[in-house]
Amino acid sequence: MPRDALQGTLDLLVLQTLARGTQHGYGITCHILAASGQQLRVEEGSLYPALRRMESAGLIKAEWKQSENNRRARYYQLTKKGAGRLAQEMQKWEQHTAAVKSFLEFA
Amino acid sequence: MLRKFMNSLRRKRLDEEIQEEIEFHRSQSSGSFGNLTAIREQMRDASTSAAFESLLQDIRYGLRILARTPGVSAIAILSLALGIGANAAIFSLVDRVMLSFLPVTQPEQLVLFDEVQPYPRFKEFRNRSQVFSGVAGTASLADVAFNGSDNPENSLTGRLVSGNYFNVLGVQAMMGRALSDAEDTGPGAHPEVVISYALWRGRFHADPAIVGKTIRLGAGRLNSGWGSSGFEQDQPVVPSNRNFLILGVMPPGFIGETVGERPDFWAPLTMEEHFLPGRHWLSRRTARWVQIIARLKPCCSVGQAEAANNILNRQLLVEEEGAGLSEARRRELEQDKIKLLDGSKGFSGLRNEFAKPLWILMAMVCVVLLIACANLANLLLARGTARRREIGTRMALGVDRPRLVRQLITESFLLSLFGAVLSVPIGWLASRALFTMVSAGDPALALNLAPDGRVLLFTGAVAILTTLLFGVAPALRSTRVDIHSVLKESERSTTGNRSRVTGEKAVVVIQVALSTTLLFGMALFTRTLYNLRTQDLGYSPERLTTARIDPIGAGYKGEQIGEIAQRVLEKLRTQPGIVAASYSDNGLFVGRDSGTHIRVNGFQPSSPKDSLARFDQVGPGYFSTVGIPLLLGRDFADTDTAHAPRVTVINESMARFYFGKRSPLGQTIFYDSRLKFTLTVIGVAKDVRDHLVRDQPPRRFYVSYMQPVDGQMGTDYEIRSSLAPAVLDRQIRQAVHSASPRLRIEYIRPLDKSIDNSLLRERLIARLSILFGFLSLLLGCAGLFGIMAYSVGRRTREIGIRIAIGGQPHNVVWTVVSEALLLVVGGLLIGIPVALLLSRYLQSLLFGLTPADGWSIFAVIVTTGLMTLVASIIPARRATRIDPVSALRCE
Repeated sequence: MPRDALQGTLDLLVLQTLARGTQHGYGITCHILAASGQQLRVEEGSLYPALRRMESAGLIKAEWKQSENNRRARYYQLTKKGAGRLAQEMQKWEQHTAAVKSFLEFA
Repeated sequence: MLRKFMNSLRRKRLDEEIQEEIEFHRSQSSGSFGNLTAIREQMRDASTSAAFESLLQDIRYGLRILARTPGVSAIAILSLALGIGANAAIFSLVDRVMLSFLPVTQPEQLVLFDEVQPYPRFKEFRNRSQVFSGVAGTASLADVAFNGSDNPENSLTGRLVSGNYFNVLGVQAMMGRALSDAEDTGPGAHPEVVISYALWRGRFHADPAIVGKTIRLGAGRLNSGWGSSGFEQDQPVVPSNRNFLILGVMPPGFIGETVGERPDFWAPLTMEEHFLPGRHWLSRRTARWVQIIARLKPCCSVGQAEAANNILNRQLLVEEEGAGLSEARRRELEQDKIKLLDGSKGFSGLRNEFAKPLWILMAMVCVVLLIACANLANLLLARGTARRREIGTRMALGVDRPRLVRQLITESFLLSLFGAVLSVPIGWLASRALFTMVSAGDPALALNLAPDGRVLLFTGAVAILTTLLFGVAPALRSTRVDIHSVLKESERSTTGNRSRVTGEKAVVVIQVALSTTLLFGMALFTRTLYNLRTQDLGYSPERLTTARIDPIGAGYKGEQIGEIAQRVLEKLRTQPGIVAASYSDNGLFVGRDSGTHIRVNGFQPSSPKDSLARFDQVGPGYFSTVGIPLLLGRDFADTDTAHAPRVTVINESMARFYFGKRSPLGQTIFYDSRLKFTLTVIGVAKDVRDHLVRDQPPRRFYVSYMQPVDGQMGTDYEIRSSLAPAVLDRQIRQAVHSASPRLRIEYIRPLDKSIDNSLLRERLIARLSILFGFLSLLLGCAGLFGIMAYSVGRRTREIGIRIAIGGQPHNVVWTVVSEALLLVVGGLLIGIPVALLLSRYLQSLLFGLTPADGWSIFAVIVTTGLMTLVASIIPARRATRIDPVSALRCE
């Protein structure tokens, strides 16, 4: 997936992933890849700065924890504010896709 | 050092975390991670602590930039500090006089009666008023003898207050208790006081066990407002010192309800007899001396309260007159209305007199700050131009513009911050100077002008505002660069690109225009003061000294007052060095002036105002001592005794107004609307100004002190002598003491000083406007100098070429000076019309000139022209010394 097209929806993907539970950066890429049927590949260069940005904005918070294979990893968790933002983003996305869909059907 | 260390630690930890996170990712996946450095960079920027980090970085960088040109930065900071400090000082004055609420409970409910009232009537108001939740009375005392000392330096000011005063204001004592209704029981029954925080600290060394101790107080005088004391002096009185029990100490913020006064103590009104012996004002219905302050019931508006209060007032007046009230008198009483003034900010005659001048000064001082800001804006613009390459390079390397603008504004903010910090001591010093200036008046104004939270807040706000004013535009402009051209051009080769300096030049033009308005104001106010000070009074105020004694306070009564006045006069006249002396009831320029209604046969008044005339009761030789020429008739003679027919000398205005072309000599004047006395005119004196310099002399008549028409309030001596003030002072004291050791001298003061005191407002405006004018001139000079030096620097090559091909030094000088002149003329062309437009609002403050005063305009042009020369001559001289060879080679 090209990086540009992903840009607008990256936050949505990450927030939705974290809504299922805490996860580290690598886990987030894996989940997005798996859940999208190998369609959406998030690039590390986009993901990590985005995580930092969302952390600064208070949408998520981070914590160092032991990973499944006993290494230290930075786990991200959705905050209350992040949950709110997720709902917003989802609604926006649905409106957007619905609009595009109805346009395509009409034309 | 420590901070630096902490900073580097914080950054290091962030970097480590980022590194570890990336490491973890790489250990899990096999894929490549892309441009590692770029990602790390982006992650760092997106982190919260990094935003803070970059701010610190900006500040560090800003400090380095400021430190790189310490001279320029110091001048910038200093001019800002001067501007902000002056603003803070004037603001503190405006704040104290105009804006501050009284430190009392719900100040917005307080109202003040616009006129002082007799004590018996005050009691009626207090007992019978329905619209107020409380009515308190107060009167101001000055020169109260303290600890038995007669030395005026050692005297106190105080307030007589009704028992409910503190209750009505809603103020509690800090220690002990305040006065209460319990102290209101009977005349002289409660020698008890509450003292101020300042007195407690100053005279009692903050004694923690002060409550229950005593303070020794003597007699004083009523500070403002004056009653007619009436004639009868029933009992002999001897002023004495008496111990007063200290009930409590008021909190530090509390200074009473009158702005500009700081009482040292508050005593019950019922102790009037002790402080103002012999007046018996507590029982006298005609002596108006009690200021009334009342608290509105929450349900009442000021309008409703005023209406209800006036109904009560009329009722009281009618009751006082008793039976046999004529219809005419009743109608007269209907006219007696009391207005209720907003009391929330306290009572202040100051406010009426100083409101306009203070706002004008505030505006002027703001303009000074604007000029300082303009200098800074120019400095930053010039610096921005010099840093074009640096900025261009940074932008080429990918720094985005908002970040650069932020950094440049941070630099401006640092300048403001330093300026603001430095302005605090400057403002404090300026406030002190202002304080000495305003406290020289009569009555002296005691205002606490030390910077407090409000002033500091104001300073901070001004600093932020100035940053926006001078920082934002240069920051935006400096970063609007075309990277390619900037990087290509070499710094020196910018030969004739003049358009780039237009911003700076426009700022200079505005600056000159601003300073023109200030200079014009300064010229107008200075000339006003000069006109007032040189106004012909009708006599020469030089070598004239006035002194006031208090015979009533020393126990003299009735005819004894005239006798003691005469005895002191005889003693004075025998003192060597005293050329002439006399006395009068009202004195000269001391703020007391008697007036009355009169009636003249053959004159039909068209309004009640027409029957008003001022008068004074004067001693023998008054006219010759003061130097008032008699135009017709004779002076009072020794034969005009208490038992001889009453005679009067009237002034020109009075003669003209009532008698027209008729000779007034021998005519009769009826004193008082109730025709109490008839006076025969024996002379006409020249019109003189004896209380106000500004106004035309009013209609006035003089009667002999031996034939008083009104009770003598005190006795003012006019003494003509060329002795040194200290020597004269001693001689006057000696004379008074030898006449009667009991007599208290209220003051001895050269007339010039009294006149100056009466012109306090004008002197304040004139002095401050001169200060602001010169400050603006100095700042304008610096600004112009800066821009000219910069311009010469830019044109080095051009001037070098001109010199190389034979340009004469005077031509070079003229090139530079004419450039400066052009800017200044532009500034004048904008500034003078603006100044003329604004000066119309100053009309009421001017004297002896119109707001479009030609001389003042001329003075402004000359001063500004001189400033131009001073500011441009050094850069011009420098231009002539440009070495053509090196100027051309520097490419």
